[in-house]
Order: sequence, then C-alpha cells, then structure tokens
Amino acid sequence: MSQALIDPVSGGVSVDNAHPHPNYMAVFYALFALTMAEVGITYVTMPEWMLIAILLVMALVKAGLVAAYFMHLKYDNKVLTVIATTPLLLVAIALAVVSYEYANHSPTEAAKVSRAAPLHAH
Amino acid sequence: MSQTVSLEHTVDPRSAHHPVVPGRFIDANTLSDTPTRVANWKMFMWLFLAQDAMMFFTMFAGYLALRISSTNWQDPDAVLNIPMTAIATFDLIVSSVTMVQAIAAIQRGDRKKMRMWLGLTVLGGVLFLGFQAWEYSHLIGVFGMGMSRSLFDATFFILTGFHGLHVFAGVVYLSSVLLKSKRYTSENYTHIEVAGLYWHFVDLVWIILFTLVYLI
Repeated sequence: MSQALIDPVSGGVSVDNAHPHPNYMAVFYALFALTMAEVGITYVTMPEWMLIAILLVMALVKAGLVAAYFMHLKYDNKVLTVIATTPLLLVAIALAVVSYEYANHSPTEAAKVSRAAPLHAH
Repeated sequence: MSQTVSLEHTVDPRSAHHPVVPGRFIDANTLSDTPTRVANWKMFMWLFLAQDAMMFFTMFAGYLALRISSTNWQDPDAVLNIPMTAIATFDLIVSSVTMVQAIAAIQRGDRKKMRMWLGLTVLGGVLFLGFQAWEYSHLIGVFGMGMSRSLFDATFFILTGFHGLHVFAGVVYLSSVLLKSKRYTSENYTHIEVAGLYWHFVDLVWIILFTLVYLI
C-alpha cells in the first residue's frame, strides 16, 4: 500500500527547526507603532486625500502583518493566501461597479436619497 | 510511485517522515492527504473567513459610498472618543499576540501556559466588549445617537455592531476551547489553531474598521 510521504513541517522551537516561529513580539511592536502613528498622523495638517491614502496604506500594512504572521499565511500553502486575498479583489470590483452606477444617478434621485436620511447630527 | 503525489521537492531532508494515517488527527503543521495538502479544518476556516471578510468589506464599501457622496458628514473626532478606541485597538492587538503565544505554548506541549495565554486572550476580548459597551452607552445616552437619527449614526452602529457580535462570538468560542483544554497536546491542537485564525480575523477587521470609521 503506497502512502504519501509528507513533511511534518514543525511549527515550534524544535529539533529539526525546519520552520521556526516568526518573531511575534517584533510583529507586535510594529503593529503598536503603526497604531500610534495612525492616531498621531490625524493631527498633522495635510490635504485630505493624502491623509486618507496614508491611513489606508497603514491599515493595510497592519492587516497584512496580522494575516502573514499571526495567521500563519506566510508559512502555509499559497492556496490559503489566494483564498484570503480573492475577497479583496472581488469586493473592489463590486465597489467599482456600484460606485459607477451611484455616481451616475440623476440629481433628483440623489436628492431624494439625502432628503430621506438626514446626514447632520443634531 | 505513480500512486503517491511526488513531494520530494517539499520534503525537508532534516526532518523525519511520517506516513499519513487517514482518520487520525493530523497536527496543524503536517501536510494532509487533501488535494491542496492543507488540512480540511484549516481550509474550511479560511473559506469561512473569506466569506466573512466579503461581508465586512461590502459593508465598508456601502459606508464609504454614503460618506463620499455626502456633503455634511459628521466629523468623527467631534463625537467618537478616539484615544479610548485606540486603547481598545491596542487591547485587541495584544489579545492576538496572547493567542499566538497560546498556540506556541501547546506546540511545545506546555498545556498550562497554553491555558494561561488563552485565558488572557479571552480577557482581552471581554475588555474590548467592555470598551464598546461603555462607548455605546456614552454615545446613545449623552450624544443621543440612534440608528434612525442620521446616516453617520446608522453606519457607525451597524459596522461596530456587526464587529462587536463577532468579538462576542469569538469570546464564547475561545472560552469553550479553554474549557476543553485538557484534550490538547503538542500532537493535537487543531481546535486551538482554528480558533486562533478566527480571533486574528476579528482583530484584522477591527484594524480596518478603526481606520475607516474613526480616523478618516
């Protein structure tokens, strides 16, 4: 009976050390620093689009760090990375399509929408 | 060798080889006899998280569409307590670190430490829920925010509410894993890793949510 030979890639501090742990604390420090930077940067005056771009990049980097190291994506089979990132692409496509349609609403339609739900606080 | 998939290129010569025994628990890092070599439970959790991510991202997209097209959106800084929420964010990140330490501990075979780290993770989740509850009571009681009052309020409560429910479910999930922690060894800790994946996902969604709702 043939059996698939497999490689039990060890995950911890092990004898063969085929797959060492990432430095979790280093990732944590990076996440902490990025969070502090995110909050701090909102106090810096800059054009709004620049602030949004920087904040989005920071948020994506943080999310990427959590996904790659804490969720082990970097060390797993690449198929899991594909599964994890495909939703982003799909939603980006959906968002693009919906935004296009929304932007092409007639003015009366848009006015009806904003009259129905007041946008300002009391 | 036509019946086995050739894995020579992935085999690490320094490590031992174990045959795959169908039906037995396979530890988190062992390649499984599935088509992708990823264990079934892990694949399923990732597929679930992908689905959940799509749900959250479409909600974010709806929120962004409403906000971008609005001319008089409330400034989040004026209403939301950003420093306190930054602390809540920090709390969730720390709970992700403790989760990862729990997995590292059980990989070493240290069940006691694993329980400790898992307990700290649950505590982090409960603390986060406390932050949210406090903020909700403040926003509703003092500022009079409500779902039907404005789009700012409605989108805020829906986004943070869905996330808060996920955190609550995660706390229940992790607690149940903690209660059953006697069964886990360095050979068998699949449930913990799967619960960890869910918990990191909850943290990840919050990272995005915090940026989009509070900071921008």
